[in-house]
Amino acid sequence: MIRVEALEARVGTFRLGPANLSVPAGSSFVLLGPTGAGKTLFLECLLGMHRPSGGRIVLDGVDVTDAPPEGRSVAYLPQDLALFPHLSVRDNVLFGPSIRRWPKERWQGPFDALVERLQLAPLLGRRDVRTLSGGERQRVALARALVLRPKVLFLDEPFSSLDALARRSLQLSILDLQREAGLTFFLVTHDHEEAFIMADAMAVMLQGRIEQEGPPEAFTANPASLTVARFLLVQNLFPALFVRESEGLWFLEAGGVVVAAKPKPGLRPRPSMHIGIRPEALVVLRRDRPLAPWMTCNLLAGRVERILNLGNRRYARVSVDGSSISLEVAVTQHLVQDLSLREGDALTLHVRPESVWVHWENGDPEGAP
Amino acid sequence: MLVTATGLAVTVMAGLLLSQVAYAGLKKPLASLLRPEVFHALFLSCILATAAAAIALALAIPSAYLLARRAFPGRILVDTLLDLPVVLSPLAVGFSLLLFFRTAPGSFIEAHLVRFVFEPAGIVLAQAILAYAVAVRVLKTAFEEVEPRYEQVARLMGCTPFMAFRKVTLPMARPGVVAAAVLGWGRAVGDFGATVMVGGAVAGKTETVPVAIYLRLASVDIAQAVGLMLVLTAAALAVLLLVRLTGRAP
Amino acid sequence: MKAQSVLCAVALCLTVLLAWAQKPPRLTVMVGSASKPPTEELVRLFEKQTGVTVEAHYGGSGAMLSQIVVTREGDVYFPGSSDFMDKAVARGVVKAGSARDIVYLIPAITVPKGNPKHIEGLKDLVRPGVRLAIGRPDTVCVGLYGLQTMEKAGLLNAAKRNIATEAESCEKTAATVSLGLVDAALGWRDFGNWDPQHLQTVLLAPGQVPRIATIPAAPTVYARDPALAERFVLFLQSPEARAVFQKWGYLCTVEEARRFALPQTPVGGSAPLPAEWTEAKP
Repeated sequence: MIRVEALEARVGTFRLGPANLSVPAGSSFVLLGPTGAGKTLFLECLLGMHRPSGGRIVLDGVDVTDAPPEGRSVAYLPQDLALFPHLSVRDNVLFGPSIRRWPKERWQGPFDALVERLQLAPLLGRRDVRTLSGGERQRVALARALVLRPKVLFLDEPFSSLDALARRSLQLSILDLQREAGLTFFLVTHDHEEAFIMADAMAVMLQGRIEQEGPPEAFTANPASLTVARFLLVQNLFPALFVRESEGLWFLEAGGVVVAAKPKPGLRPRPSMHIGIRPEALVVLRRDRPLAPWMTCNLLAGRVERILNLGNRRYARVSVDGSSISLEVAVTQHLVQDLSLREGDALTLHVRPESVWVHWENGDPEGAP
Repeated sequence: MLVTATGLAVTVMAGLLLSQVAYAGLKKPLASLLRPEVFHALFLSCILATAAAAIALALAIPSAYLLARRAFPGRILVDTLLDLPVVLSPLAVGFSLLLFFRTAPGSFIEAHLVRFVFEPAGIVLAQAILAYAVAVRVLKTAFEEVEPRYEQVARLMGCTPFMAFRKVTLPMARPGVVAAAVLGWGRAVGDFGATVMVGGAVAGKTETVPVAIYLRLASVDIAQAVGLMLVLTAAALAVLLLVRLTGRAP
Repeated sequence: MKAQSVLCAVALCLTVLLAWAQKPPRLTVMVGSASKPPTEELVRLFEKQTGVTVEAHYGGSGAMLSQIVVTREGDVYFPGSSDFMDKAVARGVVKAGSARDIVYLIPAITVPKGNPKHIEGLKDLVRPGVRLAIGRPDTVCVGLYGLQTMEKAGLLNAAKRNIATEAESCEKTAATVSLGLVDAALGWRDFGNWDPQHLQTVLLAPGQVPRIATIPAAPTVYARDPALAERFVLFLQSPEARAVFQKWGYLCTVEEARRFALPQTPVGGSAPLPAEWTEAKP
């Protein structure tokens, strides 16, 4: 549905691209990146609000690189929603159809469907959009965008201003809507969680360049570069030295502990690398349960330093025996209660070699030995 | 501080009004108003000022929008140039117009197209220039305060740049547009210097109320002058109030 | 807040400075603009002679009279014609009989230098296509005299068509000609002397002059020092003052004025607007 080829753009001293991207029709695509990465600029190029300095943008088979915004048949949900303050809720939603002079038959159907879907019925009588709550405004803005049945809906940090409850319910609701209607979504965000929830396919943009593109699983399995890894993972990233290779596994030593990793085929090790282990990939081994047959390596014994309670999640910070590193492992409340996990307790962690990330400092992954 | 400053201003304005009445009382001035010349002058003042304000607004809205939205080379220069009529005294503006109509292009216009010198059309022109300078300033600020984001969203919904302006920016800037209309009209209706320069002071033809006030003073008809001042004040207050009330966003 | 305090302080300082810098003049003279050029010189002469500071205001005779009436200030009134002096007497600003005639004015035709439209006399003013300016007859004395001139010649109705504008003051009437806005104006003979570069005078035939106008001066009843005010008025009639007036082309005696009119032409006084004028205008 969307194809971006070698797109380049400039604002002041900031350079974007060259960027390549491909979004299949009917998918929910997320562009993830920190603030200042160039996501908004990229979005503005796709919307026709900023003139790219090079490259091509193709929407639904049509080259729209130079087309004005009104000629692109897309809809936009900006971060601040931009609901028209001088129009009532109803007039806001029907703004598009009234501009395009659609006859009533054309918009009545989509309008009614959206009103029902997004529970807008009680809001339709409201004259002033400024009196709506954050969640209500989101829904009105969505309806306004979707009533035109656009080819693509572009969303810019859509849930950042909502409270947790409204956010989750709206995220799921929008996903349902997207799937039912077969719409193509292009969502820009800096929130990791939001990205993983909403994405059928994802791309990470850092400092004006698309570092990796693919399904969300590809990012959790193994990010393409250390830069992406650093962006996605805050904990459990360590520099490591190559020790030896055997049976297709690389043994790397980080801070005194040797970890086995299964690298992608065709890669060659470098003397100094980085390893990363997601907190969710670590398994807490229960003393009373036998080891599974595949747990032949990466048995790391350690002691619980702290239990971090993040409200809705918990992490146990475990210092690994005989090493200088500490690993954060995601623990469920259930687990904490079952094992009566306390600070100071000893436990053993396991991680599958396939789940260990291996990266080089910079440059391409094909390193010289 | 706020109350003191505003109170001071209100007192001065009220003082001006009351002084007019205090000098000549109310009976004589009001009695002097029941003459056809007075109605004529009032009618002329209102018609000409409204025409001038309409023209000024029609030109000021696009200019102000351009100045507010697009950065083009020499923008600062243009911006400053458009401020000129505000800084120059109205007399100078009127006089410059007279000088223009003496030049070759000016004389051509006078001879073959429209007569401006000593004609009501000239008054409309002069007042429109004064009103424009005021209106463009107010409108520029008003448009600057409407975030471009709204126009972008409108355009993505299918609006051409002009439609986005008309359907989104302009309604959102409505208080500013009303203010510009009010100020422009006020400037036009109250003008003496440019009006008398370009229009002359022919009774029934180019004698607006401010010019009539001057002429009454010049013939020492003080009571009449006061009467005219009261009439002008009343008419202006009525119009300004009306515009304010109808211009309020629903 | 800070900016506001600074603003107030500046405003206060300026006001104090302005008030302190003013020295009240010993004599305030209100002069009709018709006599501006010579009067400026005469004021300086008077100041040198007597050591008295004189503040002279120039403007429309009527507007200034209104000012005097309302403010009750002003020591000497020197308007552009006797009509206004009569108004001043009627308003009680000037005591009856205290006015003295200083100079005499003769109505004439004013044309641009070079007389491009070849105006030789009153008849030429009613030629089709000639644009004529007069002073507003009800407020500017030169306008009234212009109308009376046309009425006496029986050309008033015909002239109405050609009147392009009625200027609101004496000097504006002259300016319309020097700016090239009109082809001729009914003004004073002296207009030609005011701006010799751009203006010239076409004299009327002696029999065409309806009245000889006078520029009188008088002390007002509001004079702070009546004796000083009277001294100034007398000074205007002195030989030195006459020399200045004559230098500027003004006529200082009735005899000089009569050279341009007939022996029986009335001098000064006032007259109403011609009836033909107040009737419907085209």
